[in-house]
Amino acid sequence: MSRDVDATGRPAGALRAGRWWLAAAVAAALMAAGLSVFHIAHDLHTKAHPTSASLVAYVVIESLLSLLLIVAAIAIWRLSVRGAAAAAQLAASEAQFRAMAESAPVAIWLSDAQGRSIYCNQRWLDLRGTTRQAEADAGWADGLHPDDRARFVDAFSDAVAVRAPFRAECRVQTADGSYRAILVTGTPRSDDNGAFVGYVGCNIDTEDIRRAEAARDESEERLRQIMEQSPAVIYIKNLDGTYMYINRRYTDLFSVTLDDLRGKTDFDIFPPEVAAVLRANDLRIAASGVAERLEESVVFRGERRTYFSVKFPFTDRTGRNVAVCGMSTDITESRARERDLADLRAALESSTDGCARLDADGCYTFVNSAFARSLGGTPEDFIGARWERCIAPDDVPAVRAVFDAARANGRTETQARGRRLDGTQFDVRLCMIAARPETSDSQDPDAPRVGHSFFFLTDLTAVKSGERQLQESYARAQELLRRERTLLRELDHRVRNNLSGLLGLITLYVRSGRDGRGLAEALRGKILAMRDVHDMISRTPEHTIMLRDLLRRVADGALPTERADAVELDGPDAPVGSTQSHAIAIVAQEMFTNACKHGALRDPAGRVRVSWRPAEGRITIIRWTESGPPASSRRADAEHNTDRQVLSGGVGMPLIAGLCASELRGSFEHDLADGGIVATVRAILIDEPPEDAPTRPTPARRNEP
Amino acid sequence: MNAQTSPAQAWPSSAQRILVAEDEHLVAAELTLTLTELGYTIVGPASDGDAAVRLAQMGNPDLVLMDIRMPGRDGLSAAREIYSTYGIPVVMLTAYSDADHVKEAESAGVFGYLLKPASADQIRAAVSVAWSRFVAHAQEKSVAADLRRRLEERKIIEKAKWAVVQANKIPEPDAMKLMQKTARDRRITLVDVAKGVLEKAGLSPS
Repeated sequence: MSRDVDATGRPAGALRAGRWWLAAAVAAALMAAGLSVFHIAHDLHTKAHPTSASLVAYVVIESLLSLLLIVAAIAIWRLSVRGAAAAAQLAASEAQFRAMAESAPVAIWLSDAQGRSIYCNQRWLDLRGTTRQAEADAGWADGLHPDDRARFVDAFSDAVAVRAPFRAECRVQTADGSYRAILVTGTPRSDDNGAFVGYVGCNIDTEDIRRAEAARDESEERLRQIMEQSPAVIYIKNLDGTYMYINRRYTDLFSVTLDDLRGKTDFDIFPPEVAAVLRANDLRIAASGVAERLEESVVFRGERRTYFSVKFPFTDRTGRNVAVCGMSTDITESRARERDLADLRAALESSTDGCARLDADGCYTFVNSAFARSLGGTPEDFIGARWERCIAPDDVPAVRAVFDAARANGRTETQARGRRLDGTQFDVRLCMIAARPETSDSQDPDAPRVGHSFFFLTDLTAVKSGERQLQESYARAQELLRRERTLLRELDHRVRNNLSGLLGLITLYVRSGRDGRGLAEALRGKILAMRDVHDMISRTPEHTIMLRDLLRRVADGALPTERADAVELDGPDAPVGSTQSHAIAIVAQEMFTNACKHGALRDPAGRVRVSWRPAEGRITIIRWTESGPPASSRRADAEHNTDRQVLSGGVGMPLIAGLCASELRGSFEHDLADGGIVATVRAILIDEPPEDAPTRPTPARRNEP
Repeated sequence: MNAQTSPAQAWPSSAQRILVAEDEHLVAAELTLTLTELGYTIVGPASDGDAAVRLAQMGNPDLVLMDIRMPGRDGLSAAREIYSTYGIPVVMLTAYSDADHVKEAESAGVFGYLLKPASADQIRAAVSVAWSRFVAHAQEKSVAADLRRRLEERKIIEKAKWAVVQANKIPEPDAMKLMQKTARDRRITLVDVAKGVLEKAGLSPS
């Protein structure tokens, strides 16, 4: 630098200009000398052979010669003047070069023809943390990264050898000991004569660029992987609709590669109507320059899929829209699920059964209208409240146990008492379904169920009421059926027994030797008496037959109407059982008939008094007393004897005695007094009712006639 | 007559004495007259179940003709006791025709079931069939009891025979001959000899 070159490494400018002027002067002198030689020779020749042409040539040559001499003189003058100016210019140029080199944002260096450093600016020295002298002593190679040193030095040496431009990268140790990437460029330089004198070069710190490029590459790789691995379909289309980019998902879904799509549009892939919609969307977004979120339907291979697309214009560096980028996610299934969920929610809302959802803490997060209505409130009244709020306090422990079981088993049911907001309680059926938390393994049956759960509540008020009514109706029907069967059985039994009794009666009378008329009368009287009893039983089945009423009824049937007042009945109310009623009726009928035919009532003044009183135990003593004129005064002895015979030895008295012994479980005693028969019957008039049998009411007492 | 007397007892071809148990006097009278006309001797009539049991014990009837529904103890209960205790067959004469009563009568062990009102022929046939069934049943029971008795005697004799074999170290036929000879000599049955052998050997006959 300090030898014969200026700051740029080239020969000093003043010297270079001087040399130019010296060359011009020498050339002019040589040309003048040449012309002079030519002039002398020509002059010698023309003088020997003078012609007009020679004269013209002579003039021209003389002129040129003079001109050249003038030029040479000027050149010499200029040479002398410019020499001083060049020296000053050289100094200025060198100062400018230094100023430029030192202020350059990059490292600038010069080398000689052997590649040794002859200059480097301060920026480089600061970067390296070294001195110019150290660099000049080829110390620059020591600062190279050991891994780069040999390669770089060899490359530079090769370039120097052939004096070729040089460009290489290497890592250079900086002042703090770290290495930074440097791009080294060198340009061969030569002197004014074109001789190679070394390199001028600059070192550009590319560490930041490399790092930025690495970061960019990494970012681009991440973006590429994201786009390639994205479950969404990603694509970029030119403004003319042709595809610029598609990701792997696009390829997988539509079985096309980017190469397949070169120069193709949506119209080459999708049906025209679908492609037209897509194209319209793209154009609108490109024109507006605003990103849009929209749903797009695509039909591919006969299947319609719905996509949620985010589309936005793609701009170049100038901000001009050059393409449209889209990211589309297949939401066909999710849309279907949303519809299903909406349907389910609507169904739950319209359900007549109560449904609620509880969070993991047992608080209501959803309550349908039926649920709230059952509990006398609105859904808002329960959201956030705990489940115990709708259960009667006494039932909460039991329901909690069932709830815990649901968490273990998935589903349980129970019945409990619900509690309305106003505190009233009612019967409910609860179904609890516990859901597993989303994080648990749904395939594991033992996975804990600590997530949300569902509460289904059915108001059983009407059901319970209906069940009770049904049970009561069923019980009533069963009871009626049982009673009907019992009645039928008893009716059958009664009819068969009555027929048997009638047969017995016929047999008795037939064996008594009565004639047909007598037999008929006897049977008729007994049958009518039994009919009367049957009337009393069947017409007022809810009432117990009273002895007084029974005797009066039999008397009315057995006696002529005008003799009805001849019978006196006296005694307290005495109920008579149905079985005993028939026996009493037959006994009374037989007694009244005998009294009319053979006893006191045969006389118009005769009377019969029947009295009764309770005796020991359940025995009732009935006394029959006939009073009338003495038998001897009203009839002949023979007739009286016949009466005695009939009364004592006929069918009637044994029949009465038998009935009293069997049906009435008592006894019969009688005597034929002068005024008529006097008899005493000891009888149990009614069976002892079972302890749990309802008491049959007694009818109102009728007035005696 | 009692069904639990000796198995070798010869049964008459028909029942002679019939106990009538009927609480309704007219029906009882009809039955009594009918049975009397049919040649039977009447015991009773009894007007309730307890009276029927008493008369069955005391009146020595061959057969009982009994109503079901009677005051106090009912006829089925009385029939069960009369047959199980006194071995007297019972024919039910009742106005109940439902299956429940028939089934109850079967379980009570009655030999006939007659619905009221019954004619004389029906009563005669029912009594005759019931008596025949009863006699056949009693004879089967007698034969079975005799077989059981003989089997037990055979077991005792066999057991005694082996006791003699072991005590006298003689063959089995000789032991049997010895026991038979002892029975002949002492004019007692072979089973009595066997019981004596077992008693002497300190063995139980059972």
